[in-house]
Parts: sequence; structure tokens; C-alpha cells
Amino acid sequence: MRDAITTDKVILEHCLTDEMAADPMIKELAKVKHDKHVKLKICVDFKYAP
Amino acid sequence: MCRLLQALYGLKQAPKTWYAKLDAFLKSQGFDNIDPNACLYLQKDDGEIIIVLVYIDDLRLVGSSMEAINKIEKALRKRFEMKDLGEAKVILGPEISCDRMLGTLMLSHGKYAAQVLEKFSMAEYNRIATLLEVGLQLAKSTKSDGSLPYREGAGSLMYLMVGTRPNLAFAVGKQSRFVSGYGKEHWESVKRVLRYIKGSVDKGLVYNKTASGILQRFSDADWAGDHETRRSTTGFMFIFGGAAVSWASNSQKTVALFTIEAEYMALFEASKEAVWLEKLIQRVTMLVTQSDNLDGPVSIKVDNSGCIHFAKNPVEHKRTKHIDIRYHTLCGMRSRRTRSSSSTA
Repeated sequence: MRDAITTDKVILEHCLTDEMAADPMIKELAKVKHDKHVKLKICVDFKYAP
Repeated sequence: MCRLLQALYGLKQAPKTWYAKLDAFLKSQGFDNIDPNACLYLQKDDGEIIIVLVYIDDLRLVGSSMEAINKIEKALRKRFEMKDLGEAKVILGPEISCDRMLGTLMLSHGKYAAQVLEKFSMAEYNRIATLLEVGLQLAKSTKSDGSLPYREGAGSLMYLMVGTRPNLAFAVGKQSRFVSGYGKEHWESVKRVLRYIKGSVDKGLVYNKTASGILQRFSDADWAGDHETRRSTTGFMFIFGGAAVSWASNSQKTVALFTIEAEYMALFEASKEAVWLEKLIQRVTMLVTQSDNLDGPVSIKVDNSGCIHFAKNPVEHKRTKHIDIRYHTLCGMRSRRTRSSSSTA
């Protein structure tokens, strides 16, 4: 993996935790964070129908 | 003893023979097999793009115009006995709904989700906004309570998760660890997820033709998230066309001592999927644009700076040299284009 990275075949980009789309894949999200992911609109529309 | 002159329906050789027959026919029509595992065929003819998706003997025809679709359908009819079911409404379970005005395609499990809610008598329960309680720790029971439909519930949720509900992945992964030892608290967690589904029955994956056509890859890990085994959780999500195309949430196979290690392990798992998807997208793009080579770097987004520095720094450190050899085997792939991990996994 390091070889691929040092030869620029793979680029690791840093992204903010708040913009991490994989966050719901690793832990339970509280309502505030859950709603932030809704705003990201990047995967399932999480929107809670009131 | 009889010698068969051809494969009979039901024999294990029959699907292989059928596939060989169909493959030969599609290739004779000028189609290229993009990926044998995905059974995806593509043809570019007079500027028209035709895609054939094969699932055993179910074919989906996708084309840039109705004329192109009709043309291949006519050729297929001539060769095989087949039935036209019209515009696709369902694909291997998920329902398809297209909005041509907005240029969107939605995959959802609305009907199935409603059936699941009815099955577990959850249709009358109140909706809930989040999946699991934050910090919920479940422990395996010594004895399973057979009166509770826990396994069926977890199985139904898994089906939804695999199809069109990536956001259920973590909850389903957690619940699946207790199918051999569950009690009331486990069943309560399944019920909570069902209540969440009740509030989002009609939701699904919405792909937009105006959204980015670049595959975005995200990899993350939750260090020592499981308080019982102290294993970390790997999670990745790949987004294309405005919605998720691939996702996973798994418990890691070994215990990570540091956050960096957990993130590094997650990166390894994400890279395996990234390689396959990248190849698929590149081959389709090459055929459509008639380009020869589209080699480019594969980028993965990570939110841990330490992991990025660790991966970039080739020096072994006292605190990192313990990391399982499994996660360094990719170094051996220097002659390959990217991190093809199939031979090392």
C-alpha cells in the first residue's frame, strides 16, 4: 500500500470528519450528526418524514 | 449409463452452458464483455450505446435510444425464445423509478419495507429519527429466546441494507453478531430500526445524471468500538452519480492497538473494492469514449491525518511494526497499476 502511495498510484485525501460519508457505516449517529448527513445528500435520503 | 448430448435444465452444467451460449451470441453481435463477474455487455454502434445486463436468463437492455434497444431485442428474439416485460420496474428486488424530467433514477425497497413492517406488527408503531441509541452495547446472551422473531427481523433488515439502505449497515452488522444468542434487549434494537424504517419507507438511492460522474471513495474506522471484543469497525462507502454504489460495515478481524492501525486496516478493505469498481468504470469509459488508456491515480478520502502520514512514511516505527503482515502485503504489487488485492486477500 505504501508503495502505491509513494509512487502516486494511490492518493489519500484528507477530509473533514463532518464530511466523511462513511461515518454512518462505523457508529451510531446522534440526531444532530444524523441530520448533518441528511444535508450532505450523498447516499440514501435519510430524511425523517415528520 | 447415458451420455447426454446437451445440458439439461437443473444440472450443474446447465447455467455454464447457457452462459457460454449467450456470451457467444452477444459477442457475435458486436458486444464487449465488460466484466465477466458482473455479466455486463456493452456495444457502441453508430454513436448509440447499448448495455445488456445479464442475470442468469433475465436480461436488462439499456440504450441511448429506443431504436438501439429495439434493434438488439429483435436480434435476441430471432435467436432465443423470450418475453418482453416492458419498461423495467424491478431489478433483482429493488424497485426502479425514473424521472426523465429531473434526470433521476431511484432504487428503493418501498413495498418490501412495508411488508416487513406488517410482518413484525410494527406498522402502528411511532416513527423514530435515528437508528440505534448512541453508545448502545449489546452482549451475547447465553440462551436465545425462541419466542422472539429476532433472526427473521435481522435477516429482513439485512436484505434491505444490501439492496438500497446503506445507512442500515452498521445497525445490521451489530445485530447480526447475536443471532446465536439473543434476548429482549436485542429484539428491542431490531424494533427500533424497524421504527426508523417506518419513517422512511419510500426512501431509496437516488442517482442523478447531473451529479458527479467521478467515483468518490470514503474509508473510515471506529477504533475499539465493540466493548466486548475490543475489535474496531471498518466502514467504507463509494458514491457515484450522486448516490452510494458500494458500501460495507464490518468488524475487523484482528484487534487494532491504535486508531491509525484501525484506519489502515479499513483502508485495505476499501481498496479491494475500489480496484474492482475502478476497473469497471474505466473499461466502460474506454469503450464509450474510444480511448486507449485511462490510467490515473485512485484517490480515497480518509479523515485521519495520522493514517495518511503513516501510509506515506516508509519508515517502520517501533509502535507500528506489529501491524499485521496482511496489511502490508500490498507492497508486493509494485508492478501492477493499482492495489490489486485479489491475490493477497
